[in-house]
Parts: sequence; structure tokens; C-alpha cells
Amino acid sequence: MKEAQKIIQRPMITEKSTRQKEEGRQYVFEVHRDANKVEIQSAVERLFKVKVLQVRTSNVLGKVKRLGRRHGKRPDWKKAVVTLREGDRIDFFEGA
Amino acid sequence: MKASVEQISSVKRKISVEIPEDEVVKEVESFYKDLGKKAKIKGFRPGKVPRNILERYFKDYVKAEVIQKLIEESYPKALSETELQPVSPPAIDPGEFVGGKPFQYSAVFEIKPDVKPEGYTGLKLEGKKEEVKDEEVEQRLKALQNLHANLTTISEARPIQAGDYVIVDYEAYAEGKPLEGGKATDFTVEVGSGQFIPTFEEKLIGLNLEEEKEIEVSFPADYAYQKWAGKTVSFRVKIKEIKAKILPPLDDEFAKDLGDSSLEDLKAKLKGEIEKEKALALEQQLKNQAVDQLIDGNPFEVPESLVEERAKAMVSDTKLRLAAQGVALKNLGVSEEKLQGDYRAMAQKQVKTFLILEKIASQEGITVTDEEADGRLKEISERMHQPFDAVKRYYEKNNLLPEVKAGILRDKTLNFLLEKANVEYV
Repeated sequence: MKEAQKIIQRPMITEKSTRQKEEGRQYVFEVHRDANKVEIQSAVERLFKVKVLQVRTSNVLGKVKRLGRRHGKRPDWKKAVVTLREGDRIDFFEGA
Repeated sequence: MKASVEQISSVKRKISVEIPEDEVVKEVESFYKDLGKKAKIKGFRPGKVPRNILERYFKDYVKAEVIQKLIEESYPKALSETELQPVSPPAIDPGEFVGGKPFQYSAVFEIKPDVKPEGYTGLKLEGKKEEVKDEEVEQRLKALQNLHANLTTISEARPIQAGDYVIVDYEAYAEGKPLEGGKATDFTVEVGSGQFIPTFEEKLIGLNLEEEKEIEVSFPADYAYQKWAGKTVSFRVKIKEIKAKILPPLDDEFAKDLGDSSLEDLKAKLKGEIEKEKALALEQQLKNQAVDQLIDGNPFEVPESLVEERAKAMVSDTKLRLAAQGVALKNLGVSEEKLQGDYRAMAQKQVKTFLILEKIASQEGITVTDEEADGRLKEISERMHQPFDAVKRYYEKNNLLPEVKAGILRDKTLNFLLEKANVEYV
């Protein structure tokens, strides 16, 4: 669990995450299922050159989807909400 | 909006348009507003997408659309402001599109040249008035006689002479093999007319009825029917019937058959026809002279696009004409591009003529009324045996009426020029 690129899998850009970013400097990522908060913190700090104040995580359970009698399950994943120090920001979320 | 005009040549203009920043911004904002309501982006409900996310996805698209819209809106305005009337579609060069700066673009197009025709009254024209000679009438009469000739099977057996109509069966062979399309039965050949294969016709002379013979014909390499060009083809011919052409006697009876009361009347009618044709030819000759003198006396630059358009129209005319004869352009070994190049000089002259005549017409206050256009359409409808209304509808639907009017205007102007000219008859 060393490589930052493997821990942070993708940013989540949604209505909710946009609001969180604007109201509380919180950025949301999808992260590796086995990563812990400490690893996420250091990965974000190294990748985006920012100071992280707090990391909150949750396991999101995949939805069960069915097509007629067959049913399948979307994979579970881990979400991390990262709060940054005041003044820091991640350009990736800023659009153009 | 600011527009400035730059003169590249006497018929080319460059117009530069600047659109102030706030108008550009307004346009961009309204575009994003519309887009935001419709755009579907993952993670957002439609209509709830923040502006910066939209920009990330659609920046280039919006840029292209806004540029196009701005040009579409401002170009006609710029034209009316500068009072220019282009005759060609503009070549637009959009400038940089940067947020927070006025948007600039330039368009290059061609306008009608500013022709100032001079010396178009009192043109010195020379024409040759020709009297109708009696021989010409005779010739016409002979042609008529030929047209009404009767074919009769010869009563006494004799060899074929030139001028006979011969009915034959033939089969064509090349190198011992029958040729495709080289077989015919009861085929009529007019011997000596040169309408079929000239050498073939020659060799028929002297043959007798029911005679069978092999005729060899070698075709030149540039023969029109390409399959046979450069080959030696032998025809197996059987003479089935020989018909002589009996000309009707030229008398009052003949004239009556043609609807005239006597031979003298018929001759007078033919003479009148020839006179009319000659007068028309003379007028055409004088008009051509007048146009040539005008073009020589008033040099000006011609818009390329008009010449191009004209040459294209001529090519498509030619194609139509050939198609009516059942010939495709490519079978003649001529490419469309080459034809267009060949027509260029002619097209240029025509365009020049049109422009000069148009200008003279406006200087002299020559106009065309709707009634005159109707009259022309009536002529066309009679020539094509179509009801007048149908012709008119067709012309209106295809927007051809202005073209008809322009044609009448040119004719009237030319007539005006002839009236004012010093015509010398030799």
C-alpha cells in the first residue's frame, strides 16, 4: 500500500461533492478498499501538494441489480471525504 | 459592432468586423444557460450542473457555436452598414476567440465591379445586307422536294446506283468471329449519303438484287464507335430490295400538298423565310460587334466567382445536351474539369457582357415589366407545347423569373445600342 496512484482511484464529481467542496473544503474520492485513513491522507498530500486536516471514510455497498430472474451485484467500494487546510485547493475539481 | 472595409482589388473586398466584449460575453452566457438545462452529465441532475463543470465538457463546442452565431448575426449587418453587395460567398477568417476581449473576424468576398460604360452610343458597326438570291430559294425548294420524295421498288432489275435506298441483311465478322451488335436484318441504307459507313456504301454500288457478297471495311483508329476502331471488319451482305427515290415534280400540285396555292406562292414564302433568317443573322452579327467594342472600350476586372459559376452552368448545359443525345460526357474522353477550363474564356466574356449591359440599362433607365416577362414565358410555353400557367408556375417555383427578366433586359439594351449606333451596310 505504497503507491498514491493506486490508493486514490478517482475523484467523485457530483452535485453533492461540489457542494461539500464549496461549503467545507471537503473533497471526495473513491479509494482502494484496503486503504486506511492514514494512507489516504499521505497519498492526497503527495499527489496534490496540499495539507490534509481530516479524512473520513465509509464503505459503500454495491447495489443489487437484477435483469429478470438473474441478479448481480455491483462491487462494493470505499469513499473518502478529505478536508483540506484553509487556502488549499485541488485543481482537478475546478473544471476548465 | 465595428466594421471596416479594405480594398484588395477592384472586385475584391475584405471586411473586418469587431464585436465588443460585452456582446460576446452576453452571447456566451446565454448559450451556457440553454446548454445547462439540457446537458446530461454523470453525477448531476439535468439543469443542476455548475458552470465550471459545463465549461470543462463543452468549451470547444460552445466556442465554435458562438463564433458561428456571432458571424451569422453580424455579417449581414456589416454588409448593410458598408453598403456592399457581394456576388460570392464570403471566405471567413475567424480571429482569436479569447474570453474578455472583443471578437474580431474578417471576410473576403467579391463584389460587382464598378463599371462606367462609356461611348456606347454611336458605335460604329458594319454589317453586310445580303439579298436573297434565286439559287437559294431553289436550293430550299430542292430540299423540300427531297423530303417529300417517294421510295419505289425498281421495276426492272439493275445494279445499285448512288442515291438508291437498299434494304439489306448483314452480319459483321472480325477475325472470323461474329461481332456483338454487328447483325441486322431489313436494314435500310441510303447509298451515297454517307450516313452509315461510307466505304460500306461505296462498295454496295454495282451489286444486283438477291446478290450476296462479303465486304471488308477497315475502320480508322479514331472511329467514333470505339469497339470497331482500328479493326478490319468484314460484312456478309445480302441485298433484299433496291428502291429508287422518285422526286415529286415541282409544280402547283406540289405546292398545294404543302398548303400553298401555287408554286409561285411557295417560292415567295421560302424567300420570306430566308430573308427573315438573314435579317436575324445580320442583327446577331451587329450585336456581337457592339458587345466586342464595348468590352474593348471598357476594360474592367471580372469577379472570379461569377466566371466560375457561369462556366459551371455552361458545363452542365453541355452535359444535358449530350444526355439528350444519349452520350455521357466521360465516353467522349473529356473530363468535367477540362471542359470547365475550356469554357472559361467564353464565360468571362459573357459575364463581362452581362455586367456592361446591366450597367447601361440602369444608366439609360431601361426596365422590364412583368407583362414583358409574361410575354417571354408565353413564347416559351408555345415552343414547348405546354400550357402557359404550368410554365409560369415552374419558373416561379425554381426562382427562374429573375433570370428571364435579365435576359429580356439584355435584349432590350442591345436593341437600344443598335438604335443608337451608326450602322454601315456594306
